[in-house]
Amino acid sequence: MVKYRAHTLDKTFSALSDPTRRAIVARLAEGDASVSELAAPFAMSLPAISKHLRVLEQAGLVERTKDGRVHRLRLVAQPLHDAAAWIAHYQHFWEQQLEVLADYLRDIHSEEEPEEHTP
Amino acid sequence: MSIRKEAVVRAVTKRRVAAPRERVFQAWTTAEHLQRWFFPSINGEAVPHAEVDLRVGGRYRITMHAPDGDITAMVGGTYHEVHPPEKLVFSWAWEAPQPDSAETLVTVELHDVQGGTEIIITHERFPAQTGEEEHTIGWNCALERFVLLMEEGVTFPVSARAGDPCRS
Repeated sequence: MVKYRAHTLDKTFSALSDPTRRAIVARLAEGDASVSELAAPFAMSLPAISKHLRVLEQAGLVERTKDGRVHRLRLVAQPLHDAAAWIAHYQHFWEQQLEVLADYLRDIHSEEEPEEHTP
Repeated sequence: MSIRKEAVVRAVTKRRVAAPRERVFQAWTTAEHLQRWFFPSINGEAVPHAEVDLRVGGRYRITMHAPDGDITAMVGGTYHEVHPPEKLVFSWAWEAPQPDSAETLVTVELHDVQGGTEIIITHERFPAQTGEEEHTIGWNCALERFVLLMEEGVTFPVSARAGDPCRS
């Protein structure tokens, strides 16, 4: 069983459980942004946005750099890759399971078939 | 009993099998069947064992033993919904070889199709308990966008562009 960094994954999922934070991540997927650029589309104060950014930073999803007085935010790829890997892992796992199940169902059917065809 | 929080990520898998729903449901819900298919023994030496208490709130556990008796894999959980022959919902957590930190949720849906049954498995992972968090949006379009961005180089400067999972 492949294990992903479970604790980090939980923090990633928890951070992404909020729609505003998902929107911030989606915005940052398009490119780096300043705090005020990020705040612009939301009917939210800068402190409120900053609070969301802190959660994203603590989850390791976002990094902050200071350019003079301007804080710029950048998306960090790894935690999202881990989340995507979790999905890929279970898709592969269940595909394999269903492959085996399909074979098994065929086998038990042919075991029973002779009886079913007895007149 | 049922989990009402919205999942942040989910893996969906579909497959058609040439068997009626009743038979497929049985294969998923009886210990005798589960231990014959769920952990296929690759080298023929491993010994699978399944326990099933098929009722809402009942538990299942599927274990794989090595020939010396050691447990090599174990997964278990609780049934959340049992609707023969169309739907089964259960929690899921590996106990061995490495225990999961939290339960996830698996939904097995069985649909009648020509020549057999279509099986749809949805495996969902929920965010950790965070108290007053809102869980109002389901599928994480930001994550889908991100995956598209990484894997296909698709960018979304305009939110209305075709194929954007966040559109709608």
